[in-house]
Amino acid sequence: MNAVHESLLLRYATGALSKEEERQLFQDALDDQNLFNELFVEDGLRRILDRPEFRRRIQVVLEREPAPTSALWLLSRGWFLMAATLLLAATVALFFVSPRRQEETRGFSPFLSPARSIFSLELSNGEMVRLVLDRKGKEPVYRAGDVIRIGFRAEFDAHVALFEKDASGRIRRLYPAAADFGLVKKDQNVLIPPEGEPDSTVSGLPGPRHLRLVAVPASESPDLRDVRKLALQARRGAVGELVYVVSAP
Amino acid sequence: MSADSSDFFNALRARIRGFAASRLGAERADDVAQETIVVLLQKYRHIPPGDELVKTAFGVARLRMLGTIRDSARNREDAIEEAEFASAHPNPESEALLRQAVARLESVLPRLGAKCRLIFRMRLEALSSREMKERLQAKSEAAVQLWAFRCRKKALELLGGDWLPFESGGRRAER
Repeated sequence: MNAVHESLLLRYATGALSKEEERQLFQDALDDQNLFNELFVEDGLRRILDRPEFRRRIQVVLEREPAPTSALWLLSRGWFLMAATLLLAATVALFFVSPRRQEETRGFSPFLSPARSIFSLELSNGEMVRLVLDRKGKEPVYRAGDVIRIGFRAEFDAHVALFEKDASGRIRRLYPAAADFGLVKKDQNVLIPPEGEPDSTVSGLPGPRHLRLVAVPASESPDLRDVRKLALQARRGAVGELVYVVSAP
Repeated sequence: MSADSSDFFNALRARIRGFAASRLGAERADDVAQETIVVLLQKYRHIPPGDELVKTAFGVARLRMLGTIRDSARNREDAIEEAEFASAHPNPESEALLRQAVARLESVLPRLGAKCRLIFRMRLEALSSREMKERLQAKSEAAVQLWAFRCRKKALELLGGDWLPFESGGRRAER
């Protein structure tokens, strides 16, 4: 795709092309599969921006300064407004500190090797939960159809539930499979799917996915009546979250 | 159908098939392309071959792709009827798709760098390349365009490849 087509594409999405430019762009696209594909994608943005109310919403987001850290950004999204006990610390840097790294990865190999990201979620009681993905990156990227393996380990006895929120806002529980919470012993490695079971593959809508881990000390009784509400509002216990991204196949 | 018109539809079918194949695989791409052309010929004969008809084809093909992914076992004629209706009238599904896309975009834009957000803003304000160059204090208009395209690419990566969501591959959640 040449520079002229790139310019036309960008301006097509915002409705800034003249009739003649638009006609030329579409004509060229019929002779160029790559340009056609990009135009098809850009037409999606055009359909959004053609709606004044949606265009205004996008402008508002762009005019707003984003929160300086991911934790504050999550707060601004209202996810944890009710949380008296939230603290999120995605300390990827720990991965590179050799002695700690050895400790953090203990028990997850070879299930989650060779490439993995380790996120240390600091909970309200000061304890840590290690959440591990089998792919590197601050926001690991998976393509649809990829195998995905997840592991976690709490530093205290806890009732634990792990949820995933996809790009459409749908929330589903990844752990435990058949209960509201799973009782996890201190330093117990939990693998999803369990070792020896068939692999899980990434499916569903492309876009960001939020993995949200809820942990309640084993000495307390989690609210089993409405576990999803607990995950959303974190009224009790502690919550940590990380983001990974699903790209198109 | 004139020779020119036939050439247009043949080219359009091939391009739609190519795009759909990149998202769905070759086998289902053939169906999407064929069904899109059938809808255009049956329901949009009043639109002459050209950019307006390609835009209409985008809408029809997009809904056909979503429908194909959602339920590959659906009766083909029902699917065509649905695509016809959906392309002609705003319906709850199209509306939900758009709203979902806006929500995804709102969640992704704050994660772009400050320069990318500014460029996106200026695009929405329909500033010229020259005005954007001045505001960004860039060396050239070409540099601005390069940045704008990189920012678009970054946003699309974060969105999974499309401004409007497509489900992927027909695989259902296993987890």
